[in-house]
Amino acid sequence: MQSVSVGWKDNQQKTLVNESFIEIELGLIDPAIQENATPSADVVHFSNIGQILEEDLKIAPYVTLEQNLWLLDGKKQILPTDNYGNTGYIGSVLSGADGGFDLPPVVSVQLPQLVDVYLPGLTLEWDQAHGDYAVDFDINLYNGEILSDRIEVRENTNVFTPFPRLIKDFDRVVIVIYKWSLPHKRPRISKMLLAVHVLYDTSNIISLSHSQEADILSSRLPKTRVRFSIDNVDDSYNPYNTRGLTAILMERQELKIRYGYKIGNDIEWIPAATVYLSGWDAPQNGLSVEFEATDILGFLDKTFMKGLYRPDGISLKDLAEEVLLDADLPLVKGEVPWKLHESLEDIYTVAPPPLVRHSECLQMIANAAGCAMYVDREGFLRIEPIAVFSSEDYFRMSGTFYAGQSSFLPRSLGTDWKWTDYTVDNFNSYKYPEVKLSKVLQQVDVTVYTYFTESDSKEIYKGDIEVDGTETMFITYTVPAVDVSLSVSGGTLNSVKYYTNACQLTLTGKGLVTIVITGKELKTSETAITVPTGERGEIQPIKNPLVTDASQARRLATWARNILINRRLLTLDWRADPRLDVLDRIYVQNKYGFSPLHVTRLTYEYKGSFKGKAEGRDIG
Amino acid sequence: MRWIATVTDRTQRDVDEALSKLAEWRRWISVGLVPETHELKGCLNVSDLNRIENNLGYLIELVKGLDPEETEIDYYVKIDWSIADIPNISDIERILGALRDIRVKYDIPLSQTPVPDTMLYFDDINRVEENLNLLRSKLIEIARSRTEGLLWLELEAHTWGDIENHTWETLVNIREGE
Repeated sequence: MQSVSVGWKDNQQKTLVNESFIEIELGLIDPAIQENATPSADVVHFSNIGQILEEDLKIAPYVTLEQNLWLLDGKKQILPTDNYGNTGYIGSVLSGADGGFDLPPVVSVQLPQLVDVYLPGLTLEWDQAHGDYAVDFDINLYNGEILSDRIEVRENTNVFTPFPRLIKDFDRVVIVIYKWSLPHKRPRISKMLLAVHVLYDTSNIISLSHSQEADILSSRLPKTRVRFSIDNVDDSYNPYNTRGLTAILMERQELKIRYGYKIGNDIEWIPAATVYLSGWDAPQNGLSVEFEATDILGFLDKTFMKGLYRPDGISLKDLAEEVLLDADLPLVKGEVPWKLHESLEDIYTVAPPPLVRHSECLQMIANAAGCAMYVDREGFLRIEPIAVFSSEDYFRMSGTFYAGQSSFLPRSLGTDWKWTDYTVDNFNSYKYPEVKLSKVLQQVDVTVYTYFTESDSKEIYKGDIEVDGTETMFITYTVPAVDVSLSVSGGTLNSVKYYTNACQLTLTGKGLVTIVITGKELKTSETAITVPTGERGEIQPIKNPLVTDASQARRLATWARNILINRRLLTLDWRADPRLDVLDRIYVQNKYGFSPLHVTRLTYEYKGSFKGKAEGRDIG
Repeated sequence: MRWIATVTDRTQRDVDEALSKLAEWRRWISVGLVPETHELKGCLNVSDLNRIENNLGYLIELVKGLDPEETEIDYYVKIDWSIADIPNISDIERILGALRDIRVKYDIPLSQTPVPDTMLYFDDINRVEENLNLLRSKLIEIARSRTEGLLWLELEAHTWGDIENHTWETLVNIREGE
């Protein structure tokens, strides 16, 4: 549940709510290029030039003795003796009396690779902290040592200077500053983005659909999907429009969405989603363009090959980090884009993750830990326990309980409990919630896997591979194995890393190279741990190869039973307050009273106002 | 060290005028003009910090003159700040700490022109310089209580031209503003 003001909540109690707003910020940027770029320049000792490539950075307004920089408005900061925080680029030389520099400062940003696709331009933010800027400067784009493009700017008057111009074929950006906006000042750059930002708001968003899904048991992958349509009357997004924006749209471009309501004289905003562009469509005969975006799980669709059998065990937190690091995800707000609950540190497995997508590995980890996995509105992937029942609070909580833990509510709802303040009732609902009953649960069976190795080695791969020069590849074994060795004929083996299901090797050769891999097969035996409900009905099996401990299996089975014995599955349709998130607990009115609901699916539709549809499990 | 007249009347208006003047200079420079810029009263500049440090050094010398045994108030002062220099929190704490220590030594009540916690607001700087004035008055008062005669430091604001025609006796009148 997103935090909002009392004014926001009061607004939702009105028959006619105040005007609502949506804002979508499309950062036209390839995150990988931006994140792996390396800036360099002559700087003062407290400058952290690497920060100019970070988005959303608030620069500390440190005072120095540059002429009239130490404005006595109480909003500046005095430089600490170390840990300078966010400073960005601060050049070492001072501008002269006319703002010019005797030796123009140069900031060079080396990119990890040649940009051979069109980028939509770049954005420079000069001295965010003090309001100064370069008046005269050049932006030179180099391909190696060859100058491929130059943007000359003279008589600039802005701190924030976007350059919406298609640029390509460069691997280095060199900014040369000739003149600063004030004399006796150091040049400063707060931000350099290889992108321009496009902002859509309610004036050009025709419609938006925002859906979230997550499962308390992690039995299915969470999903956040946003679809929206934008006014395309000017044909900006027509692929045949050479001056349009289609040429520069790229998959995986980040979208930040926020929702707002007019509260008093201001607009109060809450984050809605951080998603990545996955597709767009501009019909030739239409007046709008459709965009689709999904959450960071879209980056986790490659197979995780590096699973290892560890007889001494690995904590699920370490294993999750291993998988996440291998996925090479974009940073969120300058941080790794995941938050793993501390309780995962105490749960161990000896099992190698099977050959499945990174996202599925994480789902297995979450499930084995008795946690839910979801992506929050800031874009962080979270694995954390969700209280099955709680007499304390029906909001989603974290850090206050442990994975797999359950606490029971009395069946009748007392008035002295701290309930959620989010209610779907006759006032804001379009109809009574529909109810579907799941089948009666008889028991939960959780399989415990015991791993053991064969005593003898055997051939687990033999094949010929066409190699031309030096190549790096993964080879998958026919069975999982340990104590693996490899022989190569017809080529040279440069390096090899063995995993339990595959190995990664670098070969040099010309033509067919024969590879033979041998190892001891890793086998499993299975035991089922059963937790009954005392009723006759369906058996719910949980088969997760990462569950290798019987006591953890029992906790899991109990936890799953406590969720699944709640058989009423509700569907809601109401005038939504968009602060609600999936996995939150809310209070829902039915024909006979109120009951708490754990939300597992949620969709907001916006066409000038918010409407919501949700599904969840009645936990009352 | 020679005392330099303090500035204690900065106001929010000076800060607002500084903002407006800076915006004006930026506009001029962006169209190729060269404004004659100068240090603005709403900002702390090199001359302000050097003046504060100088006057602090003056007080420290006075303290040591009055009490040669004094070892606690032994602060270093830096009076050669330039626009290329970058003071940090240790410099600010040194200045404010010295003021606090001298006040404690001479029993200045906490409520009387308190030393600010930082030097970021126009009123902070006013209070720093008011403290310098306060301590100077206090130290001169102590010095005068120990001698009936003229204190040379009381004449330091005057040039040789001001005093060359005076006798030793009439110099006392200068001290007393006659």
